[in-house]
Amino acid sequence: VSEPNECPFLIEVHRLREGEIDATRAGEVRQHMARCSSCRAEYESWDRLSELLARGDPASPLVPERQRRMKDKLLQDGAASLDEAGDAPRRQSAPRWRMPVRIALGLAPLAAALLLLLHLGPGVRPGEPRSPRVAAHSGAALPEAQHEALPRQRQIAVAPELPLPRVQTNPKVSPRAVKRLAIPKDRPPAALTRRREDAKTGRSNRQNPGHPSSRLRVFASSRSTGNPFTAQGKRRRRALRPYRIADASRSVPAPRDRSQGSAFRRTRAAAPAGKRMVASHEAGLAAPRPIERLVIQVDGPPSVRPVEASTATHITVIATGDPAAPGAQLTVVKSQREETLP
Amino acid sequence: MRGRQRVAEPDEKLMQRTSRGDLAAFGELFDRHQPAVYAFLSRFLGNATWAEDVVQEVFWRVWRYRHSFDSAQRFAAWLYGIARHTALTEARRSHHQELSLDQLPAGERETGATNEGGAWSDDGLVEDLTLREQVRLALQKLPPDQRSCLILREYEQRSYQEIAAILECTPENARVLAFRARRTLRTLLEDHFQAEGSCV
Repeated sequence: VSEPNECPFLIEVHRLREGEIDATRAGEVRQHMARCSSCRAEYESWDRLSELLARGDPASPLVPERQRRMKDKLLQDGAASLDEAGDAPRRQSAPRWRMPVRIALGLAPLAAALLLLLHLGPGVRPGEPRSPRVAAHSGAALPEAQHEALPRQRQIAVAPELPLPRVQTNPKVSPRAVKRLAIPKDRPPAALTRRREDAKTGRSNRQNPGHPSSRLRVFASSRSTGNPFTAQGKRRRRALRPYRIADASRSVPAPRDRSQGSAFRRTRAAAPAGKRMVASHEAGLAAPRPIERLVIQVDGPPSVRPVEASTATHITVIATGDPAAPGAQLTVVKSQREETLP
Repeated sequence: MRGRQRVAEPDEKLMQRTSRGDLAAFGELFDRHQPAVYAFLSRFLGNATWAEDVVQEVFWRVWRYRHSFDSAQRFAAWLYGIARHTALTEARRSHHQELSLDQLPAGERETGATNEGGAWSDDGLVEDLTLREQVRLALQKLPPDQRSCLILREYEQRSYQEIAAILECTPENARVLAFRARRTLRTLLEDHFQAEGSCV
C-alpha cells in the first residue's frame, strides 16, 4: 500500500489508528512516531480527516413523515404481492430445468381463458350477455361466500366435472392476430393487470419469462401439428372448430382436484352436470374424434411486437377434436392458487 | 410493579419471519435499518432525493427476494450488499445531472444566490456548508468500492470483517480500500491539512 519512499512504519501507523495492533506493537509504533515526524503527521492527518468527514457529513436524516409514507407504501406493495402470488414459500433460485414449468405457469390464465371459451361456446365475448344456461351453471358452480371472496381479476370459470383434453404448451410459436375473444379494458385477467400494476410502481419483471406478465405467446397442441400459420396450417385451421356446450345424456365422472407438488396444481375441468363438451361441427355424429389440437393466440395493437401483457387486447382459442372422446383429458397447469370464476 | 423488559428480536429472526410473508417483521426491519441505509445511500450517491428513491427500492428488493436470504449470514451484510448493488445499478442507469449555480436560469440563480434574509451571514454556517459540499464532492470522486468501504468504516464504524462481507472481498482488501480512500480524500481536501513533516 505504501509508496517506496515512505516510512516503512506507515502501515503500522495506519493499523494503530484503526486499533488493530496489540499493545506491545502499539507501544513500538508510538515510540517510532515520537521520532518520525512523517508518521506523526500521517497519524494526525487521519484524525483530521475523520474530523472533517464527521463535520462535513453529507447525509441528513429522512423526514419522519416521508419515512412513514415510504414504509406504508412498502407494506402496501408487500401485502399486494402476497395477495397476488398466494405467497407460497419459494426456492432460492429455480434451476434451469424448471424454466419450462415457469413458462407453463405463466400461461395458466390463458389456459383458464380457454376453459371459459369452451364453456361459453364460439362467438361469445366476455362483455356480451351469456346464455341463460351458461349463466345458471356459473352461478351454481361456487358457493355464495366464495363468490364474494374472489377478486375481480378472477374472471375465468373452471367447472370441475367433465374431463377435457390434455393441453401441452409450446411458447416457441409466434402469435397471429386473430380477433375472437376480446378482453374488456376494464376487466383484464390477472396476468394482464399484474403487468399494469408493475408499471405503476416502475418495477419491471421482464427478466422472469415464467412470470404471468411476461410476453404472452401460446401455442397449445395435443400433437405436433407443425406451424399453424403456413399454408398447410391454414388449411388445417379452417377445419378447426371451437367447442360448445351441448346437452348429453351420458354420465360424466365426478370432479377431482389434486395437487402436483408445491408450485403448481392440476385441475380437471368439465362441463356442467347433464352436459358434455362436443365439437360443434361434430355434434350429433356417431364417432367423435378425440382432441387433436388446441391453439391459444394473444394479440395486441398491430404496431406492438411482440405482444406484451399490457398491450394484449385479444385472446383466440381454437380447438378441434372431441374432448369427450375416451381418453381425452384437458389438464390446466395453474400457479399457486385457483382461479375459479363465475 | 416492575415491567418486563422486552428483548429485541435479532434481525435474522425477523428476516426469517419476513421470508414467511410476515409484513410486521418486515416493517420492524425497515424501522431498524432504514435510517442507516438511507444515510449510507445519501453519502454514496451524494444526493438525498435520489437516495430516498433508492432506499425504497432497496427495501422492496429485500421483500421481493426475501426467500433468498440465508439465515446463516448476517442480515446487515445482506442488506448492505443489496443497497450497494442497487445504488451501483441506479448510478449506472440514471443520468442524474447536477447544475452549478452558473448553469441555472437567470431568475432561479438570483433567487437561489441572494442573501436577503441574512441567513448566510453566519460564517460558521457558510463554512460548514462549504465543507459539507467539499466532502460530498470528494466522496463522489472515489471509486465505488473505496467509497463504500470508507463510508462503512468511517461513518458506521463497521469492522473490516463486516465490510468484507458486504463488499464481497477479504478483510485485508477492505483495509487496503479504506487506506487508499483516505489517502485520496486527504489529497482532495488538502486545503484543510497542514504541511506534513519528514521522516528523520
